Amino acid sequence: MNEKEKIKHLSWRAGFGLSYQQWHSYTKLNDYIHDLFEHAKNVELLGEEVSNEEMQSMMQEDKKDLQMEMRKMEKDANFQWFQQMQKDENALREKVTFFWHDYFACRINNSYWSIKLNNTIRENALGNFKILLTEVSKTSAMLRFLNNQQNKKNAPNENFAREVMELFTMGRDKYSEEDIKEAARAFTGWRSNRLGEFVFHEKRHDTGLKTFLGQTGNWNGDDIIDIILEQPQTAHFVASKIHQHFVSETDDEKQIQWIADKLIENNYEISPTLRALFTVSWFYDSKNEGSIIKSPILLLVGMSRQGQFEFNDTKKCIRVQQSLGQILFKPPNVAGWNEGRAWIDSSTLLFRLNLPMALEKRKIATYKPTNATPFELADFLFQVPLPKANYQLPTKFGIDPMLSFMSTPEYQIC
Amino acid sequence: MKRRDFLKYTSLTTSAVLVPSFLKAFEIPQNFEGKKLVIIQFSGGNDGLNTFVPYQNDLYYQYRPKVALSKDEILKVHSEIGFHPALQQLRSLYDEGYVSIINEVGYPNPNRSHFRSMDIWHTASEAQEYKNNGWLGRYLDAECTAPHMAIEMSQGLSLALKGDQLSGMAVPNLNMLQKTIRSKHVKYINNNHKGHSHNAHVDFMYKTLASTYSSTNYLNEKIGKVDRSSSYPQTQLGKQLQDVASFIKAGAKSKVYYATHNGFDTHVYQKNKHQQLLGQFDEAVGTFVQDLKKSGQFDNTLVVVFSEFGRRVKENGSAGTDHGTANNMIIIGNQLKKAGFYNQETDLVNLDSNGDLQYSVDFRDVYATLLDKWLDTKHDQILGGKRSPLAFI
Repeated sequence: MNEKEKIKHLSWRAGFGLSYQQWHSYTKLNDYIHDLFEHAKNVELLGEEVSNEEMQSMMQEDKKDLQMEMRKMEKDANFQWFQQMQKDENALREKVTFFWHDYFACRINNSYWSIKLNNTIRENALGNFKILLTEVSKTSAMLRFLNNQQNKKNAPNENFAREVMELFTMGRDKYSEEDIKEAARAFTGWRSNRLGEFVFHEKRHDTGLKTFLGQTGNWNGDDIIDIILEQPQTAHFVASKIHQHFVSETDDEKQIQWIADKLIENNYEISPTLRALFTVSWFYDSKNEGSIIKSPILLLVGMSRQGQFEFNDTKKCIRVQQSLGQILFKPPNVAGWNEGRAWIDSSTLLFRLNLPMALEKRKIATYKPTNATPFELADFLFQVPLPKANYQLPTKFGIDPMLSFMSTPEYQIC
Repeated sequence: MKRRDFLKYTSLTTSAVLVPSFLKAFEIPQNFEGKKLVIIQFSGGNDGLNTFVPYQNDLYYQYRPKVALSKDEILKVHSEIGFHPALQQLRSLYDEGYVSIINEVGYPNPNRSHFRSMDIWHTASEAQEYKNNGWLGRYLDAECTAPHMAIEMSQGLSLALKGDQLSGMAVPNLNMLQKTIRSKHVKYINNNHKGHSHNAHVDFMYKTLASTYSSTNYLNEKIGKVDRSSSYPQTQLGKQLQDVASFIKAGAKSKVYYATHNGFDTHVYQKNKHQQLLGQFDEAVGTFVQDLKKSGQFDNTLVVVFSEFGRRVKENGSAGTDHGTANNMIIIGNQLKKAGFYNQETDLVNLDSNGDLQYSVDFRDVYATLLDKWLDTKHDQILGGKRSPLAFI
C-alpha cells in the first residue's frame, strides 16, 4: 500500500471511513494517526444526565408509561450515537466504543442503564482494560443482564462469573466448571440498587475460602478480576478480538500474540496498544485489505460520511439498521453480533445493494452529490478494485456515481 | 411410456444425461414431489398449559385462579386433557389422527430470556454455548444447493436458516418476489460479473447474489402458474401459510418453509390475547391442511409448531403468566407413527426451584427425528453429535 492507501485502510479500522474532505487533506499516514489520537481525548457522552430524584420519580411511574419513556429514550440515544459516529473528530473513540459495545454485549429493557453502560464504555474505551472491565462489570445493566442480582451466599448464580470468563476475558475452555463456581461465590454481594448504582451487599457475600485458577484465599469480585488479568490467556483473548475487528476476519496466531504482548507490555493500556498496532508494518499487508465485511453500522455510518448523507429521522434510521441486521443497543445476546459472512444473506445483500439509491429516492436521508469523476470516486471509496466494466455503471443507468458505486459488492468490504 | 411419465422417471435418476437431447427442447420444469417441512414459530413464549389443558388436575386450578380455563369451556379430547376452545380445527385434525403433541420439551439449564432462548432453539446449541449458524442453515450447508430450498415467509432471515456456505431465503410475500430483483443496476452487476475478484469476501457476495437471482427467478416462474386458494384468513399467519401452500402446490423445490406467529408474551390479561392468537393459528393451519389435502400435497408435508419457552405454572398478579421453561410441540401430518399425545402428561408436581416445568424431552431429539426421518439426512453432522430420535414419525 502507498501512503494514501494506508490512510484509507486505517480509516475503516480506526474509524468509519474517510470523509471526502479528509481524503483530500491527508497525505501522510503519521499526520492522520496523530490527529486520530489527539481528537480521541475528547469524550462526548450520550443522553441527558438523570438525577437520583428524577430516577426515583421515574420508578414511581405507571409501568406502561415508564416503558414508553424508556423506549423513546433508547431510540433517541441510538440516533444520537449514530450521528456522533459521523463526525470526523469522533472517529477513534466512537469506533473503539462500538467495538466494546459488541465485546461487552448487553441487552436490557432499562434504557437509562443501557445508556449508562454505553457511557461507561466510552469513558474507558481507550483507557486501561482492567478498569474498563471492572467498571463495566459494576454497571447496573451488566449486573442485572447477567443475573448477579440473584447471586448470593448459599444460592449462587453462576451466569455473571461464567460470562465474564468466557466472553470478556479468557475465552472458552480455559478454566474449569469448578473455577466458575468459585468465582461466582466471590462475586456474591455485587449488586445494583434501584437507582442503578453499584452496591456491595455484605450480608449476601460469601466470605469463605475459594480456590480459583489454583489460588486460594477469601477472594471477592475484585480479587477474581486481578487473578483473571494475571493469566496470559486473557491478554491473548482480548488480542484475538482486537485482531478480528481491527486487522482481519482471518485469524493470524503470530499477529494475535504480538498484540497480546503489547497489551502486557503496556500494562493493559488500550491506547498505546492500538497506536502500536496502527504503526506496525504488517497491519498494512495487502492481505488485510478488504478482509472485513462491513457491519451494518459501519456500512451505514461510512456511507453517510462518504456520501454526505444526512439522516433526519430517528425512526427511519433505526428501521434501516433493522433491515440490515444490526441495531445499536440491541445485540442478539451476550456474545454480541454474528459477524463476517453472517451479515450476508439473500435479503440483506439485496437490501445493501439497493440502499444508497433508496435513501436518496425515498428521502430517508438528504444527499449532497459531489462533482468528482468516477475514477476519483473509485479511488476514494474502494479497498479492492472495481471491475473495469462497472466504471460505466453511472452513465449507463443515469445514476449519480457515488450512489452507483456504493451499490456494489466491492463497497461492502474494507 | 408417455413422454411426461418418461420425464418424471428420468428426473428420479437425477441424471440429465439420460434425457435424450430431442426432449431437452421441451424443458418442462419438474415439480418437486419430495417431503416438505413447515415450521411455525410462536414468538414470545406460548402458554402450553392453557393450550392443552390438564382439566382433571387440581394443581392446575390452584396455580391459576384467574388464568385457568374451566372444564366447561375447553374441548375435551380424552379423560385428562382438553384443547383450548379456540382450537376447533386442530381438534378435528386430532380426531382424524393427524396431530401428535409432545409434552415437556425443553433443554438443560433453561434460559428465560426471549432472545437467548430463541437463539438456543434456532441454533440447537447448549444453553451455555453460542453458535452463529442455525440448525436448518447447517442442513442447507450439508444437503442443499440453492437458497430457495428453505424459505422463510418474512422480511428478514432468522438465525435458524443461516448456514455458513448457504442460507435460506426470506420472502416477505409473493408480490414482493419480483420487486426485490427489479433494480436494473443490481441486475447488471450480477450479469457482468466474471470469474474471481481475488477477494474471498467479494466472491462470496457475488455467489450469494447470483444464487439470489436464480432462486428468485425460479420461484417466480413456478408461482406464475399456480391457483392461489382464496379461503385463507387474511391474518399475518394466514397470509404466510397461503404463500407456503402456493409454493408447495407450484411444485417448488423447497424442503423447508418457515412461518412466524407473534405476540405470545402474555404477562398481562392473558385470556383474551391468547384466545385471539390461538384462534388465528387454528384458522390458518386448518385452512392450510384442507388446501394441501385438496391438492394432494398433505401426504408429504409435515407441520411443526414450537415456541422459545412455555410460561410459569403459577399465574402472576396481572392475570397473566411469566416466562417459563418446558413446553409442548405440535406435529401435524398424516404420516404420524404415533398420533395423539406422544408422551406422559405434563408434571405439575415436580417443578424446578423457580416453579417452572422440568423438561423430559430435549428439543434437539425432536430435531434429530425431523432430520433423520423426514429430511432424510444424518442428524449428528448437523446437530454436532448423536441425539436420540423419537418415534412420532
